[in-house]
Amino acid sequence: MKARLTKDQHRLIRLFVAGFVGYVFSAGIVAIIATGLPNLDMAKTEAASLAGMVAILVYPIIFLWVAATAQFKQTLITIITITVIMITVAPLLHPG
Amino acid sequence: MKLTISPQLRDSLSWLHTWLGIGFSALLFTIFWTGSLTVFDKEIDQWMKPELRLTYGSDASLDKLALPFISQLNIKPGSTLWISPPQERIPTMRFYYDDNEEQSRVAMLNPNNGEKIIPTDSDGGEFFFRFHYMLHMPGDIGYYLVAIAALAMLVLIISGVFIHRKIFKDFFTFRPKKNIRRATLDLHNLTSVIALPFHFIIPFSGLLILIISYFPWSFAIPFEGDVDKLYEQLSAYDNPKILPANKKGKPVDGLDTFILQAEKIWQKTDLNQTSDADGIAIFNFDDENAYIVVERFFANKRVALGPDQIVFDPHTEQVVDQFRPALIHNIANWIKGLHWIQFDHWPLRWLYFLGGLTGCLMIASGLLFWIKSRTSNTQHSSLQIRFIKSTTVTATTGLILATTIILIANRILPKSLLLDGIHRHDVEIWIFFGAWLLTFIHALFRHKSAWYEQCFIISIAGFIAVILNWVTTGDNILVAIQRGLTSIASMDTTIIIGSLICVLVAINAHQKNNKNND
Repeated sequence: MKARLTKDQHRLIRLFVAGFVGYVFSAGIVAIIATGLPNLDMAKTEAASLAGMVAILVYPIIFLWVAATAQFKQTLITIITITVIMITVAPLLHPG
Repeated sequence: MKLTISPQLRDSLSWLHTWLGIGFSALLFTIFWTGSLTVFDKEIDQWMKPELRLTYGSDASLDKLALPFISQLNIKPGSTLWISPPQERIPTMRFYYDDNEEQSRVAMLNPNNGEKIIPTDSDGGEFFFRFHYMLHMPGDIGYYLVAIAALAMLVLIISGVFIHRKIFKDFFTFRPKKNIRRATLDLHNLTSVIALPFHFIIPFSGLLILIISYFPWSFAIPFEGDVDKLYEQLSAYDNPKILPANKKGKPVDGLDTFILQAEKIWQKTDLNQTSDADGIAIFNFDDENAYIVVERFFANKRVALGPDQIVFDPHTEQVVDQFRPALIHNIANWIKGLHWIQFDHWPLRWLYFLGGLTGCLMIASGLLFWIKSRTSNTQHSSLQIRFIKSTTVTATTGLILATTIILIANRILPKSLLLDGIHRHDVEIWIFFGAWLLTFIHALFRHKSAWYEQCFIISIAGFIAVILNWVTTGDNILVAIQRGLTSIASMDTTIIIGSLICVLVAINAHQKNNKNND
């Protein structure tokens, strides 16, 4: 017999998913900014400093979005797709 | 100000705010409380290590005091020696070096008479500082838990703003005479809104300090997979850049001149609004390739952290290199500086302390509101409620009580102590955690009266701590003021005020408890 999740259990699962997705998305943001901006003549340390600040702002936004959205699946697919693209592209941007 | 959002979204955010709050409030309270104490870490240091209670003299000469003292230290040739001149909040001269057995050492000098200081074996304010960001846990577990709690705090703040229907009105609403549930919610809203920017910037800046360790793989990509290269570039001359020649060199002198020269250079670039150097290092000590770095990391007259460095050749006295963080690195350092609060600004330091306490109040009142709302809820068994209540009491009043107990232990224990291989500073920490555990056991058995009983014990412990300070050091508030030790006088006064507040809270809570029982 298939057990149905209660509303609170469903929300709790979302909370953990939001935590994880927020982390990987922020990691992707760091990677893309830290590797991308040096290609536009910004110093590597400057790009890394900027990436850190942006990541902290992005994390709670992604977390809240995933945790509170009415379209959970679409949101998740969108964010994961963008994250995969960022993580794949970032190393390619590094000339070394 | 009225925010219009859909009821469904508000409901989701409200659920998130509640459960994330419940899950993290004990941890957040601990971080906020220890953080608030850390605002006065140097003052706590002086209180817990009476040998550091010196009057500050700004004219201490490194050449006259430090150079003869260095020759007495067993410094490993080719290593690095950092010297911190006396500052208003740290009136001692400090030496950080590796000895011939490659052990890291710290030595302290009294700049008023040139004598070596052997302080009481205590972690002092350093204990609260380390506890604030690594929770006294092994390895990196504490770092990551604190980071998760800080992220939760950011999410709680944003969700809290959205679920408030009337955020502006809440600022002016506090009804302490209403029922406890209403009063605690008002207090939660008031303390949240009153220090909202502070509550946002503190977790944000705290996360920024250790951001590289949270995303090491991402930061490593542009540095050929080696994140240490990023650390090296950001800290510039904090790491050795020139290798030792492994030949004995001429002794270095003229340290005062290097500091003076560096400060003149900074004066020019800062349009005279300059900060003093807070450190001078001799790299490749006692070696032919020795070089000098003058640094202001925790500058006294600006928010931004360093490294801000000027490198000298000790033999030619010429400037070899300079390092100043570039624009974005400097902005990040400014935000980090807001968290470190190492600049000299006493009113702002007190505001930070009050801001931290407001955060504690916000967290505790949020928890109390939740407990009061659930007490009548039949979904939760009495055992569950008892456990949550006990945890809440332990996390709040229990932690404050453990803090006062460590102060008492510090004044009672002999200056140096070794118990079965456990040093005095560790004994203090064991006492802290033992006292904290006892508050949990007390709260578990006396859950109905634990709040006011622990508040009452805190007040007694606070008075005892102040009296013990007087008895063991001779410094009561008046004597401390006469000796120019404002740090000690302020700390004693704060403990007394805190104790009086605890007495009032205990009496009030006791009366309300009796009323409810009637």
